[in-house]
Amino acid sequence: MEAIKVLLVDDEQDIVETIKYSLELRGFEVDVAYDGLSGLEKARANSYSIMILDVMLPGKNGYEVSRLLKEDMENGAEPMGIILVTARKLDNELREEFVSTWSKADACIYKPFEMEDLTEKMVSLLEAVEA
Amino acid sequence: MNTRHPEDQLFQDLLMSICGSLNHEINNPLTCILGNTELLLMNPVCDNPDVRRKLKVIEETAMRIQDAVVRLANLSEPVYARGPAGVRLLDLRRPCDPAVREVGTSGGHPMSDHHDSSRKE
Repeated sequence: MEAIKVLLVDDEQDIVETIKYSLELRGFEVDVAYDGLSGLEKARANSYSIMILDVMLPGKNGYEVSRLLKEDMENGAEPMGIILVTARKLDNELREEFVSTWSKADACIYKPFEMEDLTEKMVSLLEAVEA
Repeated sequence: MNTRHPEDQLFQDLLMSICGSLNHEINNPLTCILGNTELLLMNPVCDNPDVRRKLKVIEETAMRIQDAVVRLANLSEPVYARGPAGVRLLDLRRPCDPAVREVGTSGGHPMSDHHDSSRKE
């Protein structure tokens, strides 16, 4: 079976290494980017099933990248699930609303998280994209 | 109507801003600590019960920090408790309901008394 391709975007190298290694152990194929703009370019140039996207990124922030990619998808680009990752947990309800409306992302997860929670979100997103 | 003293408002804005920044600065490293602890717990190299126990301690301690950070993030209004030597401390164990605010008016808080939440109303 072909591995599910994931694009992971975070500017903290230690976090990228940790999440990448954990996902690879679980059978995902993981590509990485360290800023918003290169994440956007990689997502447009390649085919990924899921993007795990940090919010606070240099260049373009995660909300902007998510919105641009979702607009691409509305105009015919291949579907891809986007999970926003953020370390700040303030104004939860407002953030949830912002995620689902302005950024158009599919889900949001808060740092620190357990890998099990992230992979559960990924699996349910994959099921939704395939349905 | 907001009857809060302007200095109280300023202090609370500052506090919220500090909480937000701390939240970000703590949660990022916590992601690494918890993620790597989880990876080590999955690794057969760490099957030794003593090593596993110590890793579990790291994991549980990191979770406690996470819990404190969540409480800090959800702090809608400062709630004070009396700490050692009468120093007022932010009480993160209590719900942030004005009805249960601890009165902590005496003892070396570095800010002026205007910032004592128990005096606001």
